[in-house]
Amino acid sequence: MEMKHNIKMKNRLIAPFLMFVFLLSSCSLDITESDSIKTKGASAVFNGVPDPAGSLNTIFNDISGQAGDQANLYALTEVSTDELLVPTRGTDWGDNGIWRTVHVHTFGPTHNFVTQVWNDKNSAVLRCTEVIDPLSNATPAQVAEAKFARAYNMWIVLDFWGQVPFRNPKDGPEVVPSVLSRKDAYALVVKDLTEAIADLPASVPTSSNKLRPVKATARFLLAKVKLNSNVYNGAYASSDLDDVISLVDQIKADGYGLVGGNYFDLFKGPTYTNIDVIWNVSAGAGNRMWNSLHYNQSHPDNTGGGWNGFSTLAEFYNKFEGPANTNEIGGTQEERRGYTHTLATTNATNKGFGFGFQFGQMYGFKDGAAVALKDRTGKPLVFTKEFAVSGLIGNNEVTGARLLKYSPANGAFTEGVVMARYADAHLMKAEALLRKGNAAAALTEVNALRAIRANTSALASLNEASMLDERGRELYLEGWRRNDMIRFGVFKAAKQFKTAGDGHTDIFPIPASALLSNPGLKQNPGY
Amino acid sequence: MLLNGVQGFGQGQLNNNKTTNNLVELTLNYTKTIGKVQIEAVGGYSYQSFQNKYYWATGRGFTDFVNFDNMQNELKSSYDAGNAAAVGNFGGVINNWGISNDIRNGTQTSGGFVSGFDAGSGAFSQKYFARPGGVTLAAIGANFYNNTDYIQSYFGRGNFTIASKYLITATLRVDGSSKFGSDNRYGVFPSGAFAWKLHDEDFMPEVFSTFKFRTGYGVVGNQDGLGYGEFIRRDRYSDVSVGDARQIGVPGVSTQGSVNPSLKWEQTKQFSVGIDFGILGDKLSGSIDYYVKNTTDLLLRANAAQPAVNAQIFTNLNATVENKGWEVALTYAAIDKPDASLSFSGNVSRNDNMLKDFGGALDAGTIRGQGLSLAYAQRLAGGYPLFSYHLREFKGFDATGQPIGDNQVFVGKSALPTWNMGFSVNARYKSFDLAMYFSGQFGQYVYNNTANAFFVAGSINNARNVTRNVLTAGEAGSAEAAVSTRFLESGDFIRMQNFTIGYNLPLKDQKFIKKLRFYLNGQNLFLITNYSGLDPEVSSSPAAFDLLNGLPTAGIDYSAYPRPRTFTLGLNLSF
Repeated sequence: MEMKHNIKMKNRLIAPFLMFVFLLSSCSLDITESDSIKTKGASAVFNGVPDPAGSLNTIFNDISGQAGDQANLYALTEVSTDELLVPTRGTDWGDNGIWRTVHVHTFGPTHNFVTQVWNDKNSAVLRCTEVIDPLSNATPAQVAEAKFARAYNMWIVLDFWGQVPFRNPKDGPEVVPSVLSRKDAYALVVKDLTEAIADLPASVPTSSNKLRPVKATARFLLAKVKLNSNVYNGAYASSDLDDVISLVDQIKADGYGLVGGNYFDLFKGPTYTNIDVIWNVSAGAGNRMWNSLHYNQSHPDNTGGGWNGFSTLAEFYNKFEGPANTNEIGGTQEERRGYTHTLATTNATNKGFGFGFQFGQMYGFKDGAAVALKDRTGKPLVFTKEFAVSGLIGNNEVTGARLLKYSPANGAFTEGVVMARYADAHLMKAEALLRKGNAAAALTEVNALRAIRANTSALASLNEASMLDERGRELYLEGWRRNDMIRFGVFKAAKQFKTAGDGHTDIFPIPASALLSNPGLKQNPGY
Repeated sequence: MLLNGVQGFGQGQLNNNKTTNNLVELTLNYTKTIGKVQIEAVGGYSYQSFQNKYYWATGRGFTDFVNFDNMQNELKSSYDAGNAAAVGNFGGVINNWGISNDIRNGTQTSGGFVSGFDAGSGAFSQKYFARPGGVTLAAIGANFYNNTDYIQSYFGRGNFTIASKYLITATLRVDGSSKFGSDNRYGVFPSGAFAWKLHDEDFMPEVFSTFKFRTGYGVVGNQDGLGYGEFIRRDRYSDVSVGDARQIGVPGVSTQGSVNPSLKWEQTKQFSVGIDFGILGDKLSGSIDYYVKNTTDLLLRANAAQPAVNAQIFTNLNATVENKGWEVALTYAAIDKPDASLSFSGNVSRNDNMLKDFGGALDAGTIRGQGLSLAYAQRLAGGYPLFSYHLREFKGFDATGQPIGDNQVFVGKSALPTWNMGFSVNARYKSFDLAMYFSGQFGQYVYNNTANAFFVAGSINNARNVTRNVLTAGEAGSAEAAVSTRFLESGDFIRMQNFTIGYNLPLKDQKFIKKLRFYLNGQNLFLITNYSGLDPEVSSSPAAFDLLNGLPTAGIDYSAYPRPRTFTLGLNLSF
């Protein structure tokens, strides 16, 4: 629809015409609130969030979404370690080297995952700060949730980059955010968590809804942060390790505890009523499973099969007890190493999907019968623990064992990813005892956990290396490996397909786009 | 491509866009001759509004997911029933609604919810309701947008002709747009031009039937690419979508736009100088032009200084894009008789493009294909032309068939042509006429993304068809086909763009039919190029989530449709 008036006038009409133009010139160029609400109040920038509950929904939805993604945060925390490798298989998973550089620590300031997580987490910090701001009039409970979320997001920034930009919500775009040092950011995270604990709801260890933080969730994170204080501050403060022990004891006093029985049932969503799980998000576990399984490993709810990418390393497999060359069901391997199915054990329920380390012949359930699967070239689908010579490129479609904490045996796209467990807290306490020089007490705690895991013998002694290995065996693929390896000083060490480094990769590079937009940031050493 | 959770359930999306534009324009013309000066002036005012009202709805879990017609009907009927229930349960402006048996994060775990705000008080709220009977899809969610932008312009133009020899044109536009904040809402865009008809001067030799000198300078504004309300902080409920398990997460309120009152019009300043000439009664005529065009304050969606509410912010890039070059056009009327004519025309132009005064480096040129996620082929950096390729230098394959070279660098080539040329012939003999037009571009390079994604040894290794040359290239089936100069090709071409032959039926003077013409027209009849893909003249539109977020792309050929070859047999009748 278009109206067009061309008015031709004679000279004597100029004056009225100009008046008409003048009248029209008051036509507004302001946009109307037809689908959104403009911020209102004294500031053009920020006058409080209009709906703190809605903002918190977004903040926690984002944490969930980022946890469900196999790239970005998950890739940086797991593929950078000895737990995972995403080998380039012919042309598949080449992706311009984005996965290879993470594994061998050659990521640079333009690495897409590094930039993405930087943007995600820093943005989340600001949105939490907005909810916390008095202008938002959030309830004390909402402020406590926002402080927990800010601490969680800011902790990742300080852990990943060692520098934390901080923006006051009322600052306009012309204000360059200030930059907190690692120590200052650490202090702010500890303060937020301490304050959050006071106002968060009481813990309900058997609740079917662990999507939002309770006191135990904040205590867990505070214990985690303090246990890493030596990395962030150079050395532990005198009370740090005692605080870790006391926080874990308080979580236990709330009713959380170690859960025996089937280890992999701990990760069976969508809700987690077991007293081991402290926090979970609603994100689907689909990406975590299908990113590794072969194209021909399909499920009635995912007939297209897996994406044949993520694999684990033989050297990580070797940290577990059991036979070296088979992980078949019914063997003597320790429980946490999981199992692969045989033709005989494959049935309509498990559809051939095992748990833990997957290598050797893979089976599926097709047309009412168990079958040995084939790869795309028609050869038996036999995953090998070993890779092509270089490991990174030139792989075929069967190299590399696959690692499943969540399995399609429980459904192709089960919901719910575990974020924090009591077993982790329990091991944090053991580590704090060990670091305080009390190796005997630490060993008792570690063996208490091992005792409830089937086929897992008690350790005779405990040192730093065996402590780290135990954390690996219990907590693999739960997002802690990078953090653990840095704390134990071995993230830089040589591993399969990576030579030893100088340690600069313990901190990620500041993204190039961030350096461009904030002169207060300085590139981390080595990049 | 099959998506998770689609097989066995079906997924559909319904989009509805309604665009309404209104224009009020008032102009005033003034003509006067004072002595030897002839004045023509135009003043005007215009006010335009552009309303874009749209919604998009996605549904999963169809009763019948095999028949597309049935799916379409089910999506539409479920949408209508869901929307009626949402509207019935909510009084204000609706941002979105969702209906599923699996509602996440809400106080209600199944049924429907509707989110929005009260336009008067600005209060946000969400309401829950029971699943309406007419919604047969397992889950459906819809998001609603309603944006209106305005442009208000004042403009004036004066043409002064002095002694029929000197021509002066001056224009001034003042454009205001609601896409900018109050600080820089209006842009002032002046321009001026001067021409001198030298052939009317006594000192010009008679051989020149036309000789005109021209020069001009002008500023134009641009606000393309900028969306609604990008400069201001606004809040609305985040979009809802339906997940793999047919679940819908209840959305929270999120912030749109970033406060940026200083956002302003992108400006292009152009200086040009040239001559028009004609010799021997314009039997040979032509023009020569030189221009320098500088674009500043480029509107670009850039990464915000974190922490930022939104990861990206529309800013005026602190850089200059310079285009400079020249153009020569010639026309020769070889024959010009009442019953026969023949003329040849040609033009050649050269353009040099450069991004200047820019300190950063931004990746661009998103490459697609399996195993090529997040790969890019171009980089925006100061001192290089736009669309400069940033690639691995491909040095062949090693003994084991793996590619040599794994470091992306500027390779000194760009997707922009440096030379453009055109050539046309027009002929007429009695009742027959003929016209043909060739065009060509030279100096540009095309990234053959299609070959990179499909025609590599890894592709046949994965049991996909490839072109024959792949088999003998020496590449191992296990090799990665990383982005490299291996797939960069010269895009030089000459195209037979248009060919028309016509016949005018001689008609006796009579009243009924005035003209009767038959013609045969062919377009894109042939293409001369060494490019191995289908067509080196590629134009693919940027997709969502591409690098540089919606900025135009150039030179990336990913299974682009080639230009069609068109034949038209026509008949023109005039009464």
